[in-house]
Amino acid sequence: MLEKIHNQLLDSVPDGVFTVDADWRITFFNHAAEQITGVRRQEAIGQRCCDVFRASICESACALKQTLATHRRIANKVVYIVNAQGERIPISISTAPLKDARGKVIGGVESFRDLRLVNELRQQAEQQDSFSNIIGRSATMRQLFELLPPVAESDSTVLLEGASGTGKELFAQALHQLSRHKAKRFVAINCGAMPDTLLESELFGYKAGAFTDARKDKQGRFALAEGGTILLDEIGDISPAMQTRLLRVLQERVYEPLGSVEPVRCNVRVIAATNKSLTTLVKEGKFREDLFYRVHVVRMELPSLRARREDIPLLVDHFVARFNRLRSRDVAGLSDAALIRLMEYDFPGNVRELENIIEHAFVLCRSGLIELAHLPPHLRGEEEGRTSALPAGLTLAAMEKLLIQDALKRNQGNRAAAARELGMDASTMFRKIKSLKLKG
Amino acid sequence: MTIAIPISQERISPLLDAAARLLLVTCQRGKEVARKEVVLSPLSPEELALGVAELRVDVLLCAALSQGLQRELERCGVRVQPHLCGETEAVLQAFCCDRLNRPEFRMPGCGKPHSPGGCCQRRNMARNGKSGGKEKPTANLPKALFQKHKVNV
Repeated sequence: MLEKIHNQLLDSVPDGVFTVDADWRITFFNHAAEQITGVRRQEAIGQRCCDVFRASICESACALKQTLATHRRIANKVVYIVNAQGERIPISISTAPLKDARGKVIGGVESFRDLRLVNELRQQAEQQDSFSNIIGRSATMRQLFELLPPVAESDSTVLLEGASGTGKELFAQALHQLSRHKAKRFVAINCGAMPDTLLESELFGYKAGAFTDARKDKQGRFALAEGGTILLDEIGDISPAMQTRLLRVLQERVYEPLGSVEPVRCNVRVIAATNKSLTTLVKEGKFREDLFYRVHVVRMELPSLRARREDIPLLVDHFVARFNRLRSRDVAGLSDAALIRLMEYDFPGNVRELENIIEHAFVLCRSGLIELAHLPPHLRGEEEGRTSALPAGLTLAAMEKLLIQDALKRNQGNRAAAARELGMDASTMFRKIKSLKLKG
Repeated sequence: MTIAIPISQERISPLLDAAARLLLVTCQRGKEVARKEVVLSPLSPEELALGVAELRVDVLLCAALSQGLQRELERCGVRVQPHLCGETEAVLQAFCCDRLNRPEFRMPGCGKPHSPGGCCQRRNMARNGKSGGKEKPTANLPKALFQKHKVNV
């Protein structure tokens, strides 16, 4: 009677549950287990668990085997199974030993949760937290997302300012896709990477005979982008001579290809991008003021990743899902330790650097969770350094003293700055310096 | 003809996608002429299928495998006979004698109709020594074939 109640109870839970005896034969298989594996209870009972469960770890690192060997529970290990229909299903499993009344281990119990629903919910949340492939839910990103449609609708020249890797090209593409120019081409050119003569021929094209080897006419990027959008990346790096030529295009909407005397009219939406401050360059006399005002019609400043750390988990999920798709993998995400390490990191290379870190981790981690060991050495190294900086066995007060001393050193003795870094009030910092007898 | 079987502890590995060892048996005129084992590192379905095809495998006998991997293997020209379970030597022998459709070699949830007395129940009965299900008449066994041979790793 009691067993029947237990079985009914286990049949009502949404997680799959099965038990095995000491010979790894299934002795109980609940309703959710049938649903997730696609194997009916009457087929499963009495079978070897690996023939029914078909998990990625059955052969190499069976969790139940570990539990029965060590008598320790395993919780939320992420693996995948292949169900009866041949579908790969990501699941999280937990195991525990089964004991009789005398405490003797007589088998094991494994419960497992279908993570497809969790992943679906995550995807839905991701869709809400993105705009035209740009990921972010931080306040700054949301403000930018709100700004994108009206800016795209206008034909005004846009200046995108942001450090390298902040997604300037993604924003430019989003502006193009949301604009009336979207049926035409989006053309991007990195102005900082080319000498003047090459940049001029790339932007405006040339006529046959314009210079040695110019045997036939070549269209420039402005001509290619006719009716569409051109992104002039790294505009802060172009020479004064090129600035003058660009000014004419922006002012009069005409240009002359190299070797041509006929001006060509252009109808192109211009987006300029730079990782430098154009205002500063103007002040320093390195950027023409009139060109600055031509490109500075609408300015959007893209935040660095460290200025929107709350978006890091979202971006991590996005990149993990992307690399899983590209590489046919089943990496479940980042371990808590690895995510904490990334949350602390400053990302000088911004989102691009984060993407590279996840790509690096995918080389070393083929399934399960990305651990600290899978991160690039400079991230692991700092972790090791951090651990050794705080030796084991310290009291809380001693640790607090060390951390405050370090923060003061980093901030050249500036108590207010050190307090800000440690997230405490300045008055608290002063009090602690006094009570811990620190030299501030 | 080269037959491949993913193996784990003398049995067919439960999941080809995660298998670590592949046994390759080459036969000529009904006799086993060579046998070797290859180690499989964790690979994507495409890489695994290409790797198996490069081993010039004609037929792959395996337990569960994902749809994606099955598609890739078939695309690479490898004939796949899935949803098998049991001890490696017994499976090999059954393959040779065309007796792989016997219930004891079918995995649970093998996709056949789940009628009372269906294949899995027949297997349970077979294991318990009771007769169950239809069986093909046993072919003459070429005894020299698939007996234990020296394994060249």
